[in-house]
Amino acid sequence: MSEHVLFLVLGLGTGAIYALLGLGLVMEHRSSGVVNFAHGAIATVIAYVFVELRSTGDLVLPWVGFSNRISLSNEGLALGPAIAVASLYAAVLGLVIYVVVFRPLRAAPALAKVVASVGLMLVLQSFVVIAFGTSAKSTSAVLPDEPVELFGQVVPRDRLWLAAVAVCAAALLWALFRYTRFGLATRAAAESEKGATLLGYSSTRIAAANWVLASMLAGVAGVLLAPITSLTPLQYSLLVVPALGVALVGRFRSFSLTALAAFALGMAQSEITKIQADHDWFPKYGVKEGLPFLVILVAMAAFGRSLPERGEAADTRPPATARPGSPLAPAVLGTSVALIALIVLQGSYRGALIQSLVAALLCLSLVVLTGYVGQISLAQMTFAGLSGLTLSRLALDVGVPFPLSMLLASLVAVAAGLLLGLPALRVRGVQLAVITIAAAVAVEQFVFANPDLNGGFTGAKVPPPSLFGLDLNIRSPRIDEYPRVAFGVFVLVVLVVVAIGVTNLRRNATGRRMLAVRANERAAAAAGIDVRATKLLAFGLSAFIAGIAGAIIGYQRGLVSAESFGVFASLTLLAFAYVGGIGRVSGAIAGGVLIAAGGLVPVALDRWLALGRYEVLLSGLGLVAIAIAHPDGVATAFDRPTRAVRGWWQRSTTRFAVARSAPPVRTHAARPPLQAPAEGPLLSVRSLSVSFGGINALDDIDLVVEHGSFVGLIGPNGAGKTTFVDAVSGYVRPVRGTIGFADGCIDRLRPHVRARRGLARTFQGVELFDDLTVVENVLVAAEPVRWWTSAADVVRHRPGRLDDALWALDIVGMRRSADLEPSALSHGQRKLVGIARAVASRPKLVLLDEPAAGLDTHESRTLGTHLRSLVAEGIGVLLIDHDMGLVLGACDEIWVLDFGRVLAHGSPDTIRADRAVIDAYLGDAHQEGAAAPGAPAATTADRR
Amino acid sequence: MSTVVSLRGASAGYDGTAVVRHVDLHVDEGEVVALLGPNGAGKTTTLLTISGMLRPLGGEVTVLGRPVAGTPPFRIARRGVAHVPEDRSLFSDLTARENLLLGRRRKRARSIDAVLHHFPQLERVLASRAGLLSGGEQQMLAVGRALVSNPKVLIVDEMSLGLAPIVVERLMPVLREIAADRGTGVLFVEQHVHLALQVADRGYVMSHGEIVLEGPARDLAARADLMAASYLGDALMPAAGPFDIGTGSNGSRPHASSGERTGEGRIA
Repeated sequence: MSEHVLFLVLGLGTGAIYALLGLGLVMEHRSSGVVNFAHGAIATVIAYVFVELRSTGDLVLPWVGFSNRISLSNEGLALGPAIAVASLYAAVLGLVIYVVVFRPLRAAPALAKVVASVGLMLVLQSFVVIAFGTSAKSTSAVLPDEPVELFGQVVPRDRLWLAAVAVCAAALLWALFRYTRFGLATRAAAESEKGATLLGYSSTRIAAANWVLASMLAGVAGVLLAPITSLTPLQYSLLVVPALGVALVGRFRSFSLTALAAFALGMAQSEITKIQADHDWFPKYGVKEGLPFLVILVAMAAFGRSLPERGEAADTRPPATARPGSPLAPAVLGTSVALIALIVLQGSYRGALIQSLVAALLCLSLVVLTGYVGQISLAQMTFAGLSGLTLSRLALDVGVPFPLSMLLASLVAVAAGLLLGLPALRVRGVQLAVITIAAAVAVEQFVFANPDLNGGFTGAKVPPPSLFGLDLNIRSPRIDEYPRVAFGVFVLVVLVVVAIGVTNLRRNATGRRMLAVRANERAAAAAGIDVRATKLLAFGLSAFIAGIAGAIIGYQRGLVSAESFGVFASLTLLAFAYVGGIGRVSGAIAGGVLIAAGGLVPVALDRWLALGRYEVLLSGLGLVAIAIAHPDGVATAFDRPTRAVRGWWQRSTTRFAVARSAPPVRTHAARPPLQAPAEGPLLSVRSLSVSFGGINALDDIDLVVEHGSFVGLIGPNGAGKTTFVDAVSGYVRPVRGTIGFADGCIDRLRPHVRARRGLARTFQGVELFDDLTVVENVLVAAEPVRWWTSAADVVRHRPGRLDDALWALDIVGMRRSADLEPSALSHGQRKLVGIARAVASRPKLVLLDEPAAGLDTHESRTLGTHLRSLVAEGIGVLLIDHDMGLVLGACDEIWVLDFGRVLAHGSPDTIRADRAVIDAYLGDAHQEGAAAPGAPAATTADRR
Repeated sequence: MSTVVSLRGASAGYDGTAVVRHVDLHVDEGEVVALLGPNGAGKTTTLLTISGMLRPLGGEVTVLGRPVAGTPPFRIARRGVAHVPEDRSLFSDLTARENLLLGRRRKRARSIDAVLHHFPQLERVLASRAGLLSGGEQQMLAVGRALVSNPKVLIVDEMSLGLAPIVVERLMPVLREIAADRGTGVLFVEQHVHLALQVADRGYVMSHGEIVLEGPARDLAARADLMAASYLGDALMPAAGPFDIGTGSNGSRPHASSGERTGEGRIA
C-alpha cells in the first residue's frame, strides 16, 4: 500500500504539469480557436531560458545567430529574479506569437491554424537546439523538496506543491471565466468576433491577454518541471500530447475537468509503472502511454453526437478544393516530366525525387480524408507504419509475393483506418485531430516501440520487390546506380494511378457527397447522404493510400523502423500536405515536391544554401509564413494560370456547360406525375412530443398532410415549428409519438434514410455546400447511392443524373446559374437553390423552413409561384414562414402551433378569422381588409 | 436636435470596389429613419460602414460628430453605437442571459430587466444556450442585447427577419419608444415596407447602391407607386430625370450615374 502512495504522489507531480499545460491549451483554444501543438515547445523555451538564467545569468533572446545573449549577472541569477524574468519572457513570447502568427490567422480555416502551430513548434524546438544544444540540462530545486511522510511513506514534498500550484491555477481560471466580464468576453469573442466588436470589445486585445496568460502558465510548467526531470528539447515538447489529451477530456472548455483529467492521467501512468515493475505478466510496452489515450478515445466517442446540433458552430471556411476536371492532360504531362527527371537526376537528387513521390502519395491520403471530407487526421504515418510492419511479416514469415503482400498489408492499414473512423462519427474538427494523435501515440507505444513486433534493434526487414522477373529493388550492386531508376518508376506508377483515382473521385458522385459532408453534415443528411458511411469510406480509402505509401517506404529503406512513423512524422506530414494544398491532387504533388522534408526542392535548397542546422528552423518559419500568406495552400497560386490554359484548351467542353448553354426550358410539364396519389394521408403525425431539458418544445401534436397538398405551418416564435420539422426529418428524437410517412412508420429511421424515402427538407439558414457548384449542389441530392458506385467513381468519370438536377433548377428558375458557385448568388437565389436541392430527388413531401426569410417583396412573390409549380408536379409542400402574404395566399390548408401545441387548423380564411390565432400570432394586420405587410401598398409603378 | 449619423457623398464596398456610391444620409437624435430597398441595393453595406466594420471608400461618414474612418469598430461601439447585424452575430454557445450581460459594457447601460420589458418572451429562455433558441427568439435577443447598452445610435439590419407578424407589430413601436424616451437615433433596414413607414419619421430608398428616394415616411407611404418602382429596379424606372414630385433638390451633388436612369427623388 505505502509504495502505491509514493507512486501516486509522484504521479500527482506529472499530473500537475499536464494540468498547467492543459489549462493553457484550453485558454488558447477558447480565445482564438487554436489547438496549439507548439504549447509544449513554449514550455521548453521558457524552461531553457530559466535554467540558463540560473546557471550563467545570461538572458537568451528568442532568435539565433547574432547577439542574442544579454548578461544579467556574472554568476547565476537568484531564484526570485530568475522566475520573474522567465515569467516576463513567457508573457512577451505569448504576445508575440499571438500577434505575429495567430491573429493574422483568426479568420483562416481551423487547419491553417493547426499547421501554423506545427510550424511554430518546429521553430521553437530548433531554436532551443541551436541556442542551448541537445545535451540534457538540470537545475536546482524551485519548490521545497525535503521529504515528507504521508500514510507511512516518505514522499517528495515538491510534488505536493506542484499539485497545489496546478489546482490554484485551475481554480483561478475557472473563477476568471465564470465570474468576470473578461472571461465572458473571451468566450464571446472566440465565437463571433463581429458580435463582440459590435458590442465594443476588442477581440484582439482579449485574445492577446489570453495568450499571454496561457504562455505564462506554460512557462510555470516548464520552470517547475526543470528541477524534477532532466531537460531535453524533444522530450519537453512531447509533453503537449498528454496535455492535449486532458484538454480534450475537458472539451477544450472546462478548466476543472481538464485539471481533474490531468491528475488522473498522471497518477494512472505512475501507477502503471509500479505495476509493470511488480508483475511480469503485465505488458512492458505502450500501456503507460497508450492506455490513458484509449480511455480518452472511448470517453470522447461516448460524448459526441452523430450529427451536430442546431446552431452548433462549424468550421465556416474549409480549405479550397479544385473544380473537377479531367486528369488526363495533367497526368500525361506530370508523368513525362517526372520520368525525365528520374532518368536525368543522379544520386541523392534522384533519391530526393523518389522521396518526393512517396511524400506526394502520403499527401494524397490526406487529400481524400482531410481535403474532401474535412476529417483532420494526425495518424497517417501510423497507418503507413502498420502497413510497413505487416508487409515485413507477410513477406518474410509467410512468403507472400509482391504485389499481393503490399496490397494485403495496406488492408491492415484500412482496418486501422476504419477503427479510427469510428470516433469520427461522433467527434469533429480539431477535437478529432486530438483523438487521432492520441491513437497515433497509442499505436506508436503499443506496436512500433515494442521489440516483439518491430523487429527489435535491427528493425523489421523488407525484401526488395520484383514483378514477373522485373527487379524493382532500389539498391544495386553498383553503388553509383543507387537509387535505381526502376524503383523510381514503380513509385511513379503507383502515384499516378492513385492520383487519377483521387481526381476521379472528386469528379463523381462520391466526391460530391464527400464535399457535402465536409461543408455541412446536417444538410448532407437532408440530401440523403449517409454521413457515417461517407466518413468511414474516406477513412478506409485514406488509410489504404497511406498503407501503400508505408509499404513503399519499407521497400525504399529495406526495413521498417519505428522512428519513421511517429506522431511528429504525422504532424509534419499534415503540415506539408496542407501547405501544398490539401483540397486537391495538385496540392499533394506540390506538397511532396516543394515542401516535404527530404523532397526535391528542400534537398536542393539545403545543398545550394548550405542550411545545415538551420534547416528545421527555416522550414518551420516557412510553414508559418505560408499558412499565413496562403491559407488555402500554395497550389492555389497556380489556379488562375491553370484555369486560363484549361479554358483555352477545351473551351466550353466542360461537363456542365450544357447547363449554361441550354435554353431555360421548363421540362416539368412533359414529365409524368411522380407517383399515383395513394390512399390515406402522406404524412401522419400522432401524439408527437419533444422536450429539451425539461421544457416541452412539442406537446402531443397530431398533424396530417395529404398527398400533393400545399400546407402552411405557422405560429409565434418559439412555438416549435422548426422542432417539428427536425423531429419529422429525424434530427431530434421525440420523447413520444409516431410519425407515419407514405404507408410506413419512419420513427426509427436516420435522417438520410427518411430523405431517401421521399421526405425532403430545407433549413432556416441557407445551408448550401459552398465548394460545389450550383448544379453539383443539386446533383448531390439527385443521385441514388449504391455500394458499388464508389468503386466505379474511382475508376472513371461517370456523368451524374444531370436531367434531374436541371429539372429541379428549372422548377425554381435557377438553371441559368447552374455552373456558378453558391458564393456568387444573392441571398434569395441561394434559398431557391436550397429548395431545388431538396426536390431534386423528387420527394413525396418537402418541408420548407422559412424559405422567404430575408427575401424582398419581389423575390418573395416569385418564390410563391415556384412553390406552386412544385405542387403542380405532385410534390407535397409543408411551408413554414412568417410572410403571411405568401402563406395565406398560397397554401390550401394551414396548421397553427403555439407553445408546442396545435392552436388551430383550417383553410386560410378560417385561420385569418380565428380570434385565438389573431391574438397569438397574426395581430390585426391580416384580418380581412387590412394590407399585408411585406408588400408595398401598391404594386403598379407610376410610369409617368 | 443634433445629428448623430451623417454620410456625405459616402462610397463603400468590398476589396476596393464600391457597392454603395455617393450616399447622403443623416439621422438626428431621437429620430427613427428607415432604410428601404430591394435585396442587393447596398443597405447592409451602408450600415456596416456607419458602424466602422467597413472602411468608407470615399466621402465623409461621421457618427456622433466624429469621423469613423481610421477608428476601430469596437471604439465606435463604445461611443454608443449599437449595431444589430443581419446575421445577428449572437454568441450561440453562451446563454441568452450571458448574451445580454455582454451588452452591458457601457457605464450608462440599462438593466436586463428593463430590456426584457420589451421582450417578455425572452424571460423563459434566459438560461438556454442562444444557439438553441428559435429564429425569432434569437432576433429578439440580438435587438435586446443592443438595447441593454442604451445606445445613442441604434442600427438594426432586417429587424423583422424570422419574426412572427404579431411580434413585428409589437417590435417596430419599440424603435419609436427608444427614440422618444431616450433620444436614441435609430436607423433600420426593413423588408416590411408598410410597417417600416408607419414607425419611421423619415425614410431612404436605395437601389443599385444609390439613394433613389428620400423623404418623410408619411409622404413615402403615400407614393407607393414610386416605392414599387424602386423595388422592381430600373426596368420600371421613370424614363427621364428625377421624379416629378419635389425635384432633385440635391441635383448639384456629385453622382456616379446621374442622368436619365438615375431616378433620384426627394419628396418634399
